[in-house]
Amino acid sequence: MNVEQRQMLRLAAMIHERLVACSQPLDCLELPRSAWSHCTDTLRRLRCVQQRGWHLAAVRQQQYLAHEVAFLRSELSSLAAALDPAERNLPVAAAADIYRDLVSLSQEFENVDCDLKEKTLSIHTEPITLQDVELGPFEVELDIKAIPNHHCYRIIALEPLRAASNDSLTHPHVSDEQLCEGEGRMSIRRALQAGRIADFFLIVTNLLRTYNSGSPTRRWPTGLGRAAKSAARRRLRMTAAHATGAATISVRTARVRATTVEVITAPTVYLSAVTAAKTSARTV
Amino acid sequence: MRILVINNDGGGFADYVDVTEGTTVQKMVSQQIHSANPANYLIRVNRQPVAADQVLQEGDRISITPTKIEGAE
Repeated sequence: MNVEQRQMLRLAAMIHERLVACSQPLDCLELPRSAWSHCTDTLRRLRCVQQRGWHLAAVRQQQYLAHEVAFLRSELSSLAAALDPAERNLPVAAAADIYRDLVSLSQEFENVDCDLKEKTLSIHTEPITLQDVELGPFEVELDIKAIPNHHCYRIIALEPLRAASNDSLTHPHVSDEQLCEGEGRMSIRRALQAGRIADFFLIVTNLLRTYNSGSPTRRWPTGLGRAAKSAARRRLRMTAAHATGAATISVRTARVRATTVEVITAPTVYLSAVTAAKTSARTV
Repeated sequence: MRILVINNDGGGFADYVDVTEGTTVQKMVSQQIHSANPANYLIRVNRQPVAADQVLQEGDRISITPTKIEGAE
């Protein structure tokens, strides 16, 4: 058995010991206050736009409300299921099973790190892109000492692209390194309670990889990342400088501001427009 | 024969299930996810990726994890 395997064995024993000590699943039960709050906020916005006669906005808010109500219903169903007496005695995986889970992590993820001193276990995701917004890779760090409590893990952006509206947002479902679990809430809870550590990491990473149409990625720079947009503008100016003379400089500048995103996808369209502007300038 | 089925869809489900000899991974998964698209699930048997036509054995551990899970805002 090599050093890494011995570390995993010790970690598995720690996790098993922690789970056996915390076999009170009722401590994890919470009323869906956040989901209820989202519904009341959305309903208030819907009434506001209806009163103002903003029909398109009302349609959009109604869609959001339907989504929030569906989520609230699923939270309540999960809570009802968790109150079932049969659910309170979930079996905890044996230390050997937990060990096999930890060993399998290296097959699912490239970076698996365990810190026996801090009693943490972490994996790195690949760079994540949602709706053309590059969010970069994330570290999912599990605190063994806090399993299976609600905040026993955190999501750390390794190359953060922070939202313009809120500096603590590095992902649509992550705020202050805490994941808003949504549909994954109960399966994450049960995986942790049962000691199915590999399942826990898989569920969390799949959640990070999934775009929720009800969550506003509009808070981030749309289309391209900020750095890529700046680079695109620089390329445009260089291209325009080669293609046109001084007489059309005002047209060139306007084109750069108005068509930055379009040119990235169709540079030939822009060059044709610049050529046409140059031709018309000569005619004048 | 008895196998352990872990379905991480929805509220999560993990329990031993009796299946007939010769049941394939594909058949087991279809029984768990019903009409959903199997391509939207990560399937592992004994923590390893497997072919859909692999026949399950006594004591196997099959886990089914959705690849698309929506978080909240």
